[in-house]
Amino acid sequence: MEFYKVVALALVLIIGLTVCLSGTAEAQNLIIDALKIFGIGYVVTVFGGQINDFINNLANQKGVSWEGTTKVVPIISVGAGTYVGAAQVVGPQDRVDTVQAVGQVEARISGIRGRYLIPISTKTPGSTLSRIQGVGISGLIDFRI
Amino acid sequence: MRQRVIILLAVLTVCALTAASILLNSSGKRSLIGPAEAAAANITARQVTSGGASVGEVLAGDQVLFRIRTSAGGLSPYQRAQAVANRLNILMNNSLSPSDITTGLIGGQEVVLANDQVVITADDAHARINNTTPSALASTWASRLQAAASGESVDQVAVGEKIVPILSVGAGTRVGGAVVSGSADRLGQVVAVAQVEGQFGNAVRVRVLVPVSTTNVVQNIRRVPGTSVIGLVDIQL
Repeated sequence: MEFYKVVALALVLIIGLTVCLSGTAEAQNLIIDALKIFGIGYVVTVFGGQINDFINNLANQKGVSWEGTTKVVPIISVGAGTYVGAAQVVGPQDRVDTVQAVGQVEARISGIRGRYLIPISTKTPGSTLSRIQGVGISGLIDFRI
Repeated sequence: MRQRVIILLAVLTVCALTAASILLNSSGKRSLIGPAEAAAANITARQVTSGGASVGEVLAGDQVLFRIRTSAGGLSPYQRAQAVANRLNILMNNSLSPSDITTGLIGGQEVVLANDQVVITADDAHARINNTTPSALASTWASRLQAAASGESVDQVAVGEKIVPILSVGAGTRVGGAVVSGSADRLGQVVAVAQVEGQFGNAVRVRVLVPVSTTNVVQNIRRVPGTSVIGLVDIQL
């Protein structure tokens, strides 16, 4: 058991170090492996900054800029508690800093099936889902393995 | 001996820094209490008649925070307003700042929270009466309460939401629907959400979602500041 913990830790360190030392192109290829082994939460933690920069550059190319700051966080399905993707959130720096995840709640919106995306300050949403006011969704990230 | 003196000095420095930090934190927190306490003393409830029906109003000073128009749990609208006012007075006496006021979902119902305690439920009935959704109503009520807690005018606050089509930038085709939130004046300018797509490596597809004031997103994207996407709707074919 101890052996597996050491191996897992070594893998995390190797991938983390590789990401730090490598450029964006290498990071993009590493994401598939990291997704398969560690899942969306890990990928967002390690690669979130680069994905955030990529989205901001993409928006800038189209002449779009945001007030405040942006950040990439995982989307967590409320109820199931599973990671179902990632989102870029935007808002004032102090409020974005407190966002840990986006809670996805399925609901009927004006009679149509929809999903509310609620920026929250926890990665383990319970029955209470407290929205961080003033923070919105500026981008969505879908992962494909 | 010399080592002992160094250790003692280090311990004293840590103690001094900790004490200074505690003092700074406590004084910082005190500054947040002021406006909330000012509002706390004035939360009241009153009964009025509107359109022939009895309505319970919750007031901060002379400004109406919420209007409760339906009975629930055996309580009349006025009794519900009284219960909300009592709850708010207790919460506001415990150093409540505007940032402590949020919205949330409890048991599938949109609520306004203060320090994670339920203040009021934005139920379907009240959302229908106000021609909005429970989520938008909770946001509006929370904004009014935040304004009251910071000593601002409650009536200047108006937050809403609406559903608009998502248009793919470049092609200009409709690829879904989005729920957009913002102040009432800004929200009126939003006619669509522009979707800019990109590919980050082989495994990551990104979509930038921009509330815009024109449906011509092929040639230009006119973003509406102060608005943002808060949900997606799935249109089944």
